[in-house]
Amino acid sequence: MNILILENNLADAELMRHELRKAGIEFKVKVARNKEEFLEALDQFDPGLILSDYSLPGFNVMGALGLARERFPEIPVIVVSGDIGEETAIETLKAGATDYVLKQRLARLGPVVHRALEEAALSAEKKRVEAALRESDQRLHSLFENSLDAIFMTAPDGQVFDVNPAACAMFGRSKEEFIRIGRGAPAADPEALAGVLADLGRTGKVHRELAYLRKDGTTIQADMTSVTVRNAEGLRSFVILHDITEQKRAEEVLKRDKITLEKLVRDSSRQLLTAQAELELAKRITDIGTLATSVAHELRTPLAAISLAAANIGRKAANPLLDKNLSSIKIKVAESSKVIDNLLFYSHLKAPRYEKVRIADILREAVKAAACNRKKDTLITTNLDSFSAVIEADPLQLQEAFSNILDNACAALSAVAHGEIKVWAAEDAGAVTVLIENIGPAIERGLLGCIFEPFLTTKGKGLGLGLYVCRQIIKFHNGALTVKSEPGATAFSVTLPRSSYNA
Amino acid sequence: MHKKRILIIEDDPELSGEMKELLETEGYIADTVLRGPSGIELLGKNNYDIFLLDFKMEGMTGLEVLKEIRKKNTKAAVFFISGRPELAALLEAEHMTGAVNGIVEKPFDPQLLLEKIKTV
Repeated sequence: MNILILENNLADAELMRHELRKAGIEFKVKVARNKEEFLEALDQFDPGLILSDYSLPGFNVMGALGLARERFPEIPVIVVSGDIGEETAIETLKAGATDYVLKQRLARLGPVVHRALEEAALSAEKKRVEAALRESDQRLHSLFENSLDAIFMTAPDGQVFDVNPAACAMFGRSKEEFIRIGRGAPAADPEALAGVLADLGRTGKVHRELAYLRKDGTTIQADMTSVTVRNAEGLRSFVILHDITEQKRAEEVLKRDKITLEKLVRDSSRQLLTAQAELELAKRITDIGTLATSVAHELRTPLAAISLAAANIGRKAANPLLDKNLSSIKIKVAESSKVIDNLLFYSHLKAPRYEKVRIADILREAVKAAACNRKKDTLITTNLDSFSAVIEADPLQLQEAFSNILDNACAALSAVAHGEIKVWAAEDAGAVTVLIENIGPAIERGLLGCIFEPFLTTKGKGLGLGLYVCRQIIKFHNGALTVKSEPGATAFSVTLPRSSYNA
Repeated sequence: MHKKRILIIEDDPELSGEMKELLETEGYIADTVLRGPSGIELLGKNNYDIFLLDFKMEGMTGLEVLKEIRKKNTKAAVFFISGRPELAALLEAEHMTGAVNGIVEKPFDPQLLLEKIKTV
């Protein structure tokens, strides 16, 4: 502790020093004998306490007090003087002196200094605390005013004392409105809010997501933190709302997008699988086309040689006994050639060449062709005489399709006595439908689902492309080929739009 | 009337042999070769009225042989004897449809071949 003594009587100063030592105070002393020395010491000695005589030549305690208070208001100044009278003494106290000690009663100096130092320390601490409080208060205020989150200060029952500007902006209400309404932020779900208040009362701290209502009725999704503290005014709750409406909306959109995306991926995968299957089939058919072309050439040349050789034998031998054999060769060459033709036709199906065709004419041709293949007692009935519809289609392809279906119908009746096949045509505004029905055994259940697959045959002969090609042809025409089979009757139904290429 | 002379250019020896026999029975003179270049060679030596051409042959296709024939002999009749379904389209693409007198598709009825040849 540095003690500055303003005293021109060095003996008195020594006495003071003695008293201070006696009082057990640890100190260093500097004695200033006039104003100049006092000022210098004030600046450089860093005194914690000033003891000042009342009067010095050209200077006095009032001047000293003035200077000290002006520069270092916290340093206690104790007047140590001869009798100066009560009034003067009071004046010095008014001017800021901490205490007053008579030189005649210097024994008081120790206790007075002790007390002054204690008071100074207390005062300094109080100032420090006040400053810290002020700063903390300012920080809090700044936070409160500038926070982007809404902050409510309420009683535990929700009564609002204060709200910050962010709260006003978030809810579209003024601070006065909030206070007038009394209750805190209006929750969209009062029950949820009641739960929050109950938890808050129990634990003093709650954090959860809650929905609130703006003044205009729209909803705010908020991340709510609430704490209850006890201060001088009693229990206070601070409610902080962080607006997560946009975030929630974005999450919602993201979730929806995810679902949409997943659906898209699922759909695309399904389409991809279908496309792949179709491609594989197309490739198989293309491969077959290529194969068919070269097989056709490779087989037709030897067939030509066989048929010529047979013809040459016939000429040379001129023997009627050979005729039957030669005729068999001729028939079998023709059959083989037909297989090759069919294979080529089926494997080189192309887009239809459309023209106006009378559907009854095509059906009649097909029926005529089928008549060669049927059993003699199989009856084919039609309603074609009264059917005059004209559609746009490829006549060759349609005839191929109808012939195929009719051939199948005939084959199905090969073991049936007096079988019957009905060819029934009907029309409406946009399409014609041809029903080819045989009265006979049903197609096996297991087969029914795959009779339109390529290379499926139950006849033990042929390529198994017939119905597949039929369906392809009808598909090319934007029509539909379906089958229905029950014991007693199997019916193929061909529906063709009147104008295929516009469909 | 002189006997008509026919050159058969066909790489299947059995088929060309049977054709030669058929044609000679019908009073034609028929030569056979198995490759296009041999046919071109003969073409310079003999005066042929009719050519019967296979399409797919090793070394030189029927189409190439046809072009050679037309370079040297424009009057002779040329028939393709072929098993290839796309031949007509191929000739059209090469603008050679007018350069042939007909296509006989394998396997063929011997009578049909003779009828075609008789038109020459």
